[in-house]
Amino acid sequence: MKHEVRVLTQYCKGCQLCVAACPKGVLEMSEELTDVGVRPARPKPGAECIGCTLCYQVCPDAAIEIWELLDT
Amino acid sequence: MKPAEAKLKAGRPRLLLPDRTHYCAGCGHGVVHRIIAEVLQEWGIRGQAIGMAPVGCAVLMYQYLDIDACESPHGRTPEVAAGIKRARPDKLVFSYQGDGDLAAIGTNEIIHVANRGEPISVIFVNNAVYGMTGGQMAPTTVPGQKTTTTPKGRSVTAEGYPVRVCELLAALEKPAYLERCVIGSAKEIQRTKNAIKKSFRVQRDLGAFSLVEILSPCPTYWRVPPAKSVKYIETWMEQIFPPGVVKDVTK
Amino acid sequence: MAAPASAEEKVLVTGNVAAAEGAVRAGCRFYFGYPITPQNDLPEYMSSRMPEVGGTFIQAESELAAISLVHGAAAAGGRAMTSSSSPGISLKQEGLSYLAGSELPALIVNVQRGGPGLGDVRCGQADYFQATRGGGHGDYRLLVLAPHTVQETFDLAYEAFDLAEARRCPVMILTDQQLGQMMEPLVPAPMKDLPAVQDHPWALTGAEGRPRRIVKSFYWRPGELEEFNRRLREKYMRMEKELPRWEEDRAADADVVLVAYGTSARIAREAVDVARGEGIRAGLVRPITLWPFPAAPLAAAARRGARFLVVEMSWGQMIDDVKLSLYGTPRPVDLCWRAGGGVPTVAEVAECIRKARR
Repeated sequence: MKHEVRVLTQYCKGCQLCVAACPKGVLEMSEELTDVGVRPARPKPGAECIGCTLCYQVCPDAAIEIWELLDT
Repeated sequence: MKPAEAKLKAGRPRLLLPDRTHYCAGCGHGVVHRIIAEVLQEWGIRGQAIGMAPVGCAVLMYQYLDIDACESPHGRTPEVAAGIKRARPDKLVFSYQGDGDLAAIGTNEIIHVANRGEPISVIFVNNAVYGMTGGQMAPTTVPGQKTTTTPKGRSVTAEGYPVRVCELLAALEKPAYLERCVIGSAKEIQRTKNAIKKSFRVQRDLGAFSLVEILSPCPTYWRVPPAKSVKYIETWMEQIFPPGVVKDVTK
Repeated sequence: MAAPASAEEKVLVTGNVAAAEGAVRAGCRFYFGYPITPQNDLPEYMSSRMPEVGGTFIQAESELAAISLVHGAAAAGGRAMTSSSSPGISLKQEGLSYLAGSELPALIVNVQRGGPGLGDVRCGQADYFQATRGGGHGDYRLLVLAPHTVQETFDLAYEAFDLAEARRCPVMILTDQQLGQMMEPLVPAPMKDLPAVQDHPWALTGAEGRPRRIVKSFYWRPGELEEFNRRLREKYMRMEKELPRWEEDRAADADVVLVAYGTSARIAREAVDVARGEGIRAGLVRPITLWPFPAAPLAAAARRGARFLVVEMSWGQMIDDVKLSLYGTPRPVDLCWRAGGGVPTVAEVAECIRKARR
């Protein structure tokens, strides 16, 4: 099963807890500022999310979604 | 984005309203809010819940949770909650309190509400500092911890030792369940969620008082980056406030 | 008090018990209090009366806790009350400000004693400013009702929750030690048929199938609090227009109009008898609402040239409202006072009337 992590940047405050929590190093901090001056987390291009939801669990702002990609 | 090809495995609970919170980056309140929203949603009891917000950082809790809620004067939170519960005994009533609210200005209230065994759930967020007012000493500030009113660190000679609320309440007959949890690793956060569920069950099934103390990060006033706050709790707080079940009559 | 079988039945009770039974019969099912003299027979009575009617009685750990329990029960739609006496009422001011700010109805009984500080447990009326100016922080008022007999204490308690709910504000019954502890015959009104909690459109009932409700006084977005205060002011201004209540006794032709409430009004009335016996045209205006204060009858008396004598057990608080009532028609206003537990005698007040006429 493939997974995808999505960051809801409107909630993200750039605390980096998700980056620290990810066992696979999937997340990194964006270089670009959001309109409230935050560098939000983002998935690294090409990195493979395993769907463990640890980043979702530790996120203080409920700014993360984990999606299961269904076979097509 | 790909609704037909993907299924949401984990995401914001609906009861957590689509607001960007006022909390600082890395603050534990957001996690506790999300946990409460998840539990109420999983159990399908939005319509049964009435929450109490305290004075302090979490005063705006009612801004973020899609449930009936009430505000109280600083520290009186559990008594206002008890008043609601006495009037609506069939509802799930919880108070959400910080360390200043619960362990300083509201010490009298929490002790007597616990002593009467009022069947409410108290969610006690202990971050060892006053956040809303600018980082002053809390009753739970640990020895040596620098705050804006203990600039050289808390001195036990001058300011005494931190108040251990769970242990204090465990001396009373009526509290049914007291547990101390941590907003740290995902595993600890899951344990916190289970504790909140248990507290709600104790209220519903036993009609008894319970309290879940949550050691929670305040990176801003601990003056550490959010990613180091987990280590901070382990190093500084858990020595004084050991996590675990302090009292449980269901066992 | 054994509940009379019919409204025709007459019982002999204290003013404190009358306040309690009036509230119970008005549907009050939540009483929270803390002992303090001279109002202790009120919570004592409630401790047995509440269980009889399926209500809740809690002796709280403090006045702060008691008013907070009232806050919670009121927010949930219950008719809730607390009672205390002067020093205890000071402690409740925090809660009163929050009740007013949250627009919650509730009943608070203050059986006044002597102050300041611990004072004594004898009669006093020195909490007038505190009662009529809100008492706690922020702009708000309490609707203040001042009975002068045991029957009227019952009647006002019986009516208080209707007023409180209609205006969504806390109501205070301001009595005093003598009125609270004296016994008089009472013909109580029948029990109102109300549920223990009502589903007011603002009450916290759990948001089943409806948008959530929030009971709060905190407004943090810029301009919100100012807008709320504008609305509160309009509400209180409507109350000022619609609610003043008073009783007149021989005031229509009086050269000297006495103004007094509570126990002082009983003494003032007797002093009016004495003065009339001496050929002095004295009369009494007895405010029943202290806030809003009944300015109209005083202004009317001033316009026809009356002089005023305020009788109160304080060294001068209500006299300010009397003077404000005469705004634009300056007339002499004298004060006949005892304070610190002292109660004016009829002879003292009669002598004040003689002096005022000169």
